[in-house]
Amino acid sequence: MSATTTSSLLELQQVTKQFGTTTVLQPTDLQVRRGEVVCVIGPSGSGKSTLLRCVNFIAPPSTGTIVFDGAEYKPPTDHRWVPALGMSEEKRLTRLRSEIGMVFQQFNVFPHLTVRENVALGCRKTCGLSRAQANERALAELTRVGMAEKADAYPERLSGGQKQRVAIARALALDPKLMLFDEATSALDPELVNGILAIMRELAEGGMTMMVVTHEMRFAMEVADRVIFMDRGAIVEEGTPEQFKAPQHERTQTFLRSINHG
Amino acid sequence: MIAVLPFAFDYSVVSEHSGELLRGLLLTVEVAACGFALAAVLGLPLALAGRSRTPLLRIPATMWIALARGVPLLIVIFWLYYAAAQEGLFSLTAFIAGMLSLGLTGSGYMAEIYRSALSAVPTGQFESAAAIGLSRAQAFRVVILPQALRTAIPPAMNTFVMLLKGATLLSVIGLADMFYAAKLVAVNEFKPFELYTAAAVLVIAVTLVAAIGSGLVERRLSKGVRR
Repeated sequence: MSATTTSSLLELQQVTKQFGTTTVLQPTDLQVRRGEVVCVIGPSGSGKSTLLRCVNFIAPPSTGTIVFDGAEYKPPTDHRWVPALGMSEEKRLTRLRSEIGMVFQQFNVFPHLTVRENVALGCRKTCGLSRAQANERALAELTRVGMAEKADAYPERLSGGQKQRVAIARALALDPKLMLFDEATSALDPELVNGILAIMRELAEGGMTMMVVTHEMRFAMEVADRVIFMDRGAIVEEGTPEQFKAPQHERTQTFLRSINHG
Repeated sequence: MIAVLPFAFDYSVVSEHSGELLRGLLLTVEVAACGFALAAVLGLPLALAGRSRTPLLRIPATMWIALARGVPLLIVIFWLYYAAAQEGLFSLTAFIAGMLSLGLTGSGYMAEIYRSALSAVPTGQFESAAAIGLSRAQAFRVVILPQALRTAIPPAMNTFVMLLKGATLLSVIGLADMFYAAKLVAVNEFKPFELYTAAAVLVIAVTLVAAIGSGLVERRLSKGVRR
């Protein structure tokens, strides 16, 4: 047990997710080492996003345990009658989320805040930085993603690629231990994709632990330490990019063929 | 214009009594504004309770909203002013009874407005707020509510106009509002047409001013969002 907690940053033990009677994530075990880049591929509806959202409890798992940085997290109890009873549990999960950055397919930048405020908000509310310190921090992160000169603009003025850069800066501003990318380039115009991928590549090279749900096979093959193929809510096959050049499982072969010729 | 009318419109009777009418108007606007403020303040917790997962909050809130929207304003006014006093429950001044009636009735409408405005905020906003470690309360305060309020302004404006028009009913409990003044002059001077027209014009004028005001507020809150 102690061996796993020191080497792996994240560990999923028999994690499942149900929506009503539909199971979207079968019992799943997964370990992610510190500094590792794990790319998750698979057809839509295969549970890739759900897996990611279970990790930071944005969609809390139905059963199972998640160990992050040595601390154990279980699905929160449903205090339907007296929600106040769930407060301490909720607080713990809120702290967990502040240690994990997440980037969404639809960017989800806050439209009513400027670019700088978008990035500074998390620092101000969760790290207890003053407004000035948070703004400084935000500007540093914006510089890193090449968006410093847009600091005072509102998101509506930005292109999709620029919004996604802001979203990445917003996640990085909290100095996360793990970054989750949920199809971060899927909603972008083709010519904007590479800019975002370059930032992600740079992050990976800088030693960031990352879980990346993506359809960009070239990126996965070049950047990932490990590739996971999911189908129908379960991990079908996992291995190094090298191993994925000759996948074992038939379902994986079909999927890779279809996207390479699609 | 005047020649078209089958009778003469006597402006002088309106201008002679303009002082009373305007004083009454001020009271009408005051009671409507206080009622609206009460409705706006009560509406938000009601909307939240109505969306709550716990039945302990949801059921009473849903009942409150149904009652507030379903019971005619005139009955609420009579109940608060006459019926409650008659039964020895409490006795209120006409202004307070009026403000409460408008506020309670309006709270149901405002709750529904907040509810739909809150559900109009994309779920991705909740998720990304949670993902940067904001607690539910923080996410609501800094991310969700500001966006919801913007959508709530135009329908909230409708509620204000509804309450302003409803405020003219308060003359029945003797509140010396604009309509009360108009009625008094109309009866004394035998000029109902002139006075009731003046009353209507005054209410419309206030409605217009309020519409312009809400437009300004909306523009302020829509910073960063072109509409």
